[in-house]
Amino acid sequence: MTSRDEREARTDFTRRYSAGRTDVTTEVERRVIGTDYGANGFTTGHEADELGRRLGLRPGLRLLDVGAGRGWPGLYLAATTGCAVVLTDLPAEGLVLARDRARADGFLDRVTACAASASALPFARETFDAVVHSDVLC
Amino acid sequence: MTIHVAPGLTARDRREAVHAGPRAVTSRHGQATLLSRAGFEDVAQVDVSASYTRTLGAWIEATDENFDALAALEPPGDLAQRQTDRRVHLAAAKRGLLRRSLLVGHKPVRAS
Repeated sequence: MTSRDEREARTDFTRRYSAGRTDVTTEVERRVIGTDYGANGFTTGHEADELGRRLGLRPGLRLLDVGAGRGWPGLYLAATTGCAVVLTDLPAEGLVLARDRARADGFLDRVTACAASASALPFARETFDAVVHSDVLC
Repeated sequence: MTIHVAPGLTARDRREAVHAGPRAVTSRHGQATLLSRAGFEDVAQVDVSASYTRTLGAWIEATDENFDALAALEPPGDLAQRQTDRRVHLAAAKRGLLRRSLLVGHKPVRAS
């Protein structure tokens, strides 16, 4: 993705994450992909479960979700598998919402949010046991 | 999980796919190759294009049905434009110009 693509995506998603969510947005998301994490892409709940299974996620493992938005699917994977998750993205607005959701669901202790570009992540090598990204490279 | 241009397209269809797809959908190499070059092994690629096409259609339909309520949350014109873009995207996906894949790779375990 070019710098211009990244800037445009950041502007677009910052605006969308700042718009707030309502019963209608939640209901639309549940209907389309079967979740309510504020997702707006194409990874369904079943596909997220498949990701968790293929990656062998479980308590004690640390997952990195690149381009996590409002927390989908990383937050969901942490909730359902018991792993810890670091959520990264550039619009901080989405990450704030993700942390709010983790706090409300009672597992904030396993969630870290970091506003960072995917091309310059601030982590040491071999920090994570698994990495996911959903419709980010495109 | 990544959307990508279908392999083996004519130059014209490739241009249409790039135009219709999400930002930066094109790459010089296939997704599995990119993972391999990044050092991942045993790269498995599963085509999930059917699910992707269904989901994209569902976003369009559900958004149309709740358009006024959803549009009120965004700047004027944003949602209408996104729906227009989605329809172009869906047409390309239905034609097979855009695909979506689940790719999983593993980093080799270093000997201690």
